[in-house]
Amino acid sequence: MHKFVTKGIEAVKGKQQFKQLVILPVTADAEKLQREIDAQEEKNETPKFEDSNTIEGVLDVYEKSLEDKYKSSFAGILTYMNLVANLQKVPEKKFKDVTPDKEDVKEYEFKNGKLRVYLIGIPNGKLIIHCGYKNEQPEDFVKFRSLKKQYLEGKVPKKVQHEKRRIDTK
Amino acid sequence: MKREELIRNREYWIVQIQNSVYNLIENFLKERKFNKTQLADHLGVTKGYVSQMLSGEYNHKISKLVDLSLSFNKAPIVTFVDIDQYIQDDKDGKVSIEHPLNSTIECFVISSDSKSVLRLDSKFSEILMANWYKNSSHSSVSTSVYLDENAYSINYSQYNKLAQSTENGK
Repeated sequence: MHKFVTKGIEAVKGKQQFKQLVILPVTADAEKLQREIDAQEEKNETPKFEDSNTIEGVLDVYEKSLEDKYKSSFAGILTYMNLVANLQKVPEKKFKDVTPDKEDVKEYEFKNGKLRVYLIGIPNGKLIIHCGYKNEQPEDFVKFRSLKKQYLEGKVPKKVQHEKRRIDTK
Repeated sequence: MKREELIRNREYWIVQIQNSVYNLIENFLKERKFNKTQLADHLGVTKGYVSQMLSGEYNHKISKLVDLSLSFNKAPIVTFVDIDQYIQDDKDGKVSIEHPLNSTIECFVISSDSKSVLRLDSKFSEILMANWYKNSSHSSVSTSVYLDENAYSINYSQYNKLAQSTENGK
């Protein structure tokens, strides 16, 4: 089990907010860390731990792990995120709703080349939960939905407001 | 990846143009109520070529882009801007991600007593929109203009809603 906080994505800017999950050990003081991240981001600072190490989210970790041949596709995914953040229509082959039936919290997938990024809907934006590759999708969906469940269950109920399933577009 | 790094990345601009082409085609399909086969016939290309464009994978010669644009009765206006200035404008919130290829520039002007609506011609609209992009953030912005000694208020973020209600009211 983990604790979670969220942080922004510096490269993505728009009318919708895009955030990424930060996975913490169960002993972490998540509420305190979230306040510190929010305060630092408010001042346009890169969020750091008390020991000055940068706080890395799932997308940061993923980007670091990428081989050079995938860097271009990754830049493409960030660009599509910018387009979606600015409410622009993009092809379904690049960004689509993958929410299962009867699921309240919407799920999305960005894809470009062999890269895949999995997100959920949050108030006024999207939260990146997990990232992976084309040939690992079945396992990635399992991991994504497990993290999603843990994250949502860890939130205080009165603060939880999720993007409800809608018939209209993303 | 930092935002500035993304903006200086070739993939960012390739995706922007590919998405503009995608939106050009999507809008045309909606207007004409065409399916992909009819569109392919209209363009004199294969269905596969149409599918490629609709999946955001367009990457052909400039001459093909021009032919495509003219087929849709659109002029492919290309503008080059200083990238350092673009990055600074982006930081200052002065950049719109709406590329001229896929935005409809129309302005409606409401009289100060809210009783009259004027639909501005495209040239005047372009001037006003360029002014807005240059000087304003993208929250709801309004400004006043004086035409024939009457004061009119332009609210850029509301013009779509007004356009609909104006059409419905006729």
